[in-house]
This record gives sequence, structure tokens and C-alpha cells, in this order.
Amino acid sequence: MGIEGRVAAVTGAGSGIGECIARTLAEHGAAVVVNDVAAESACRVSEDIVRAGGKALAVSGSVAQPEQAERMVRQAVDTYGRLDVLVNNAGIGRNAALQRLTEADWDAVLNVNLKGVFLCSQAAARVMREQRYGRIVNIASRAWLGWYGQTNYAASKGGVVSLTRTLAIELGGRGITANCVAPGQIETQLTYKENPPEVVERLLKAQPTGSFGKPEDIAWATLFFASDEAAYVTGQTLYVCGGKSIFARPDPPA
Amino acid sequence: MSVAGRVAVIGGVGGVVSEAIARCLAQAGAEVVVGGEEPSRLRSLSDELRSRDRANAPAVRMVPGDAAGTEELMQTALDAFGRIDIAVSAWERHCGRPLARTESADVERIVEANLLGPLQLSRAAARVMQPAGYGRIVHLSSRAWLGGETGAAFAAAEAGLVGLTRVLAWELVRDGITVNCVAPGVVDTEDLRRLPPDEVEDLLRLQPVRRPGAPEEVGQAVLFFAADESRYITGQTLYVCGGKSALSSLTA
Repeated sequence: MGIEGRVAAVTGAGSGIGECIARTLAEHGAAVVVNDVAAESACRVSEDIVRAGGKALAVSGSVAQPEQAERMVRQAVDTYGRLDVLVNNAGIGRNAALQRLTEADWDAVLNVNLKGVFLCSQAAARVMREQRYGRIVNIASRAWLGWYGQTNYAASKGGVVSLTRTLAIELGGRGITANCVAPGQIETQLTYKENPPEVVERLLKAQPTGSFGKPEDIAWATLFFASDEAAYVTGQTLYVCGGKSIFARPDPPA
Repeated sequence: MSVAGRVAVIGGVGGVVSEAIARCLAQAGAEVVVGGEEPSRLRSLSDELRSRDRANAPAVRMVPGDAAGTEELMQTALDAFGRIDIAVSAWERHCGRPLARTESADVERIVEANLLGPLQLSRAAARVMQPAGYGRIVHLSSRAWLGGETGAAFAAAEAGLVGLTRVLAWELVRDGITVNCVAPGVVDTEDLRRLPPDEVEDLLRLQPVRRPGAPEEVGQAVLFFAADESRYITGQTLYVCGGKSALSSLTA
């Protein structure tokens, strides 16, 4: 798919899904700005890409800080001359049932997952409007449709879906598309680190396919939206969830 | 996108969109078997889609919704290549008339082409794919079902396809088969070119991307779902509509 020679920035690309997206875009010929709040992770991924013969640049910083979002975009333009693709992947979770959810948990999640997308998109769109070309791909989540213990997370991702539709309406006349990839349960290191075996078991039971998705599945859908060929696709949310969006069977925690 | 060496059947080949889908799949390396109504168009496409090993792509004359024709399409693919990996229903019979002014015979034709054809094709394809444990089914629907000024019969059939996609996806989810839908908006087709310019302009006026889509852009979306890599995507409808769907209420 056509992203050869394009310049892409991927937020939260130091690990997990974001890392896989950054590597995939680089493998398909894009120069990639690898952003992560953890500087050493961003550097590791960026160095790996360069070692494999790709083009990459590490830019650490939090997407929820306006000046750091600006800096990421500026560094992309200073280094590679343009910014064609922005993948808003950075996200955090602070799961708790409603009565146990604190205001701090709410604010932290909304700040990174929703405000971060706004700040990075705004900074990137300034450059993309001038170029009259751009691809914004937001990593939302199937969870926005509803899930136990994720009031804050689901609302933040619902916000991303909504924001994406308006971005599409505002930017469609400028050659810029905005779309969402909405992952279901994806198997990363965190899946096993953050969840005890009985929770993993329960999550697996909720998968129609009986298996988790892989970061590569998300990178694939992201690559499609980021490609030249997807010029007529905008404002969309594509669920990459093994069918869970059709009909979920939430199994409440005991 | 990995469809190289895969075998694809495409039902409803006739218009420029279905032909673009066939070309996209063939150019990406799939063996293509086409079914459609119009012999001359079918023949010229079949001749165009020659592959490394064959002078032309197998073609079957069939009308939408005809179970026997659908079976013949499957059998032709099986005889030629021994398997079926990808099935695409590409019928599109537009009708922009209000329902109250649509003749009963036209209602039947619309439902036959846009819904019954795909249903029969999916059913026949699923039977071949299930024992093989692999499949990619893609339906061509339309953004029109989300809402527009007219064309209720067409919208009903296309909405039916979305429902078919979602539940069939669930039925086949443990068989390695995905079922997805591509829903184009305004596309540069023969029908569009027949409209007076001011009507075309009206169609595009509120659309975020202010141009009609190219048939190839629909073909690329079908190719995306048809690829090996789309294994974790099922039951989905992707609108290829220049953002027009964002003007309608949300549907999953």
C-alpha cells in the first residue's frame, strides 16, 4: 500500500501496538517519528528501525502537553520536510468500577486519550493543510461501545470517535482524511502483566474468535487508512476486534 | 496486500465498480472467476484478466439470486483452481425513486440484485470455505442506507446486506472466515455520468471530500478486506464515501 516516501508520526510508539505500527509504516517505506513519553523506549524503537534500514527519529514527550505535541510536529518537519501521516496511538487505562473510580483516574485518562488526540491533530493539521495532504489515524477502542470498569476509558475513546468524524468534516476539502481504528482485545505484554490468569481467561471467553488479536492486526488497518489509496475513506471507525463489536458478551467480574 | 495465489469468485460483474474490484484482485495476484449478466462485458473483462497460466479468467453467465447460477459459479472456480478463498458480491442495481412510485416488479428486481444475489453467493461460498477453514467474504453495499432523500427500496436492500454481514460473520467466526462489507458513497459510474451536472453538484455539495470516488478506490477497500492480513476484522462495514456517512447518525 502506498506510503513509500511519506513522513509519519506515531505517538505512544515505544511499546505494544504503537511500536508495531511504527515498525510497519517504516517497513513500507515511510520515515517515522517515534514518539513516546518514555524517552528510552522511543530511542530503542527508532534505533531498531534505522538498524533495519529504515528511517526514524525518536521524539520523547507527552501528547497531553501542547508544547510537546507541537515539538513532535516541528521536529518531523525540520528533519524530513513534511508530515503526511499522524497516528494518534498514545493511550492509558485506569480501570475501576464507577463507585471506585477517582477523579484523578478520570482526568488522567481523558487527558492522554482525548486531549492528546486533539492537541496532536491540531498541530499536525496546520502542516497538513498547507501541504493539502494528510492522513490522521486515531487508535480508538471497541470499548467505547461499553465495557465493565471502563467508564473513563470508554468515554475517552468515544470522544476520539466523535472527534474523528468532525475532523473528517472540517478537513475533507483539504486533502486530509481522519479515521479511527478501534481495536478489541489485543495481545501485548501488558495483557499478561496487568491481568491475573483468571481475568485473561475471562477476556478470552468474551472473544468470538476465541483468541486475542495481535498488534500486527492493528498496524495493518492503520497502514490501509494511512495509504494514498484510502483518499476517499474519511470519518470512519473500523473495528479490528474479531467480531466483538457485532455482539459482545460482557462477563462481569465476580 | 496478500491475495497472491488466492482464488476469488465475484458475482454481479457488469458495472465499472465490479470491474474495478476484479482488476484490483487480479493485479494483486489472485485468480479471479467472474459471474454476471451481460455476455459481451463479461467476455471482455475475462479476456483482460489473463493470468500467468491462463489466457483468460473463467466467466459464468448468471442472474442475481439464481441459486443454480451461483452454484455454477462456485463449481467453475473449483474445477479451474480446486478451491475458493475469496467471494465478493458486487451487484448494484440503483433506484432513486420514492417507494410509492416504484413498480412492484422493480422492487423485486432491486431486492434480487442487491440482497438475494449476495445472500445466495455467501451461502454457497460458506459451504465451500467452512471445510477448508479459510475464507474472505466481502459484500458491496452502499452508504445510501444511512439516509438520503429518496430510494427507499434500494436502501432497504443495502441495509439488509449490512445485517447479513454482521450475523454471518458471527456464524463463521470460528471457521477462519471473515465477512465484511464495503459501502461506497458517490462513485464515478455510468449512472453518475448520466445525471445532469447540477444534480451531481448537489450530491457532492455537503460531502467532506468534494469529488466522486473512483471505482478503483472501492476496489482497494475490497482488496483490503480480502487480504490474509485482515484476519481479525469481521462483521464490519467500511464506508468509502468521502466522509458523507459522518453526516448521518452513528451506526456500528
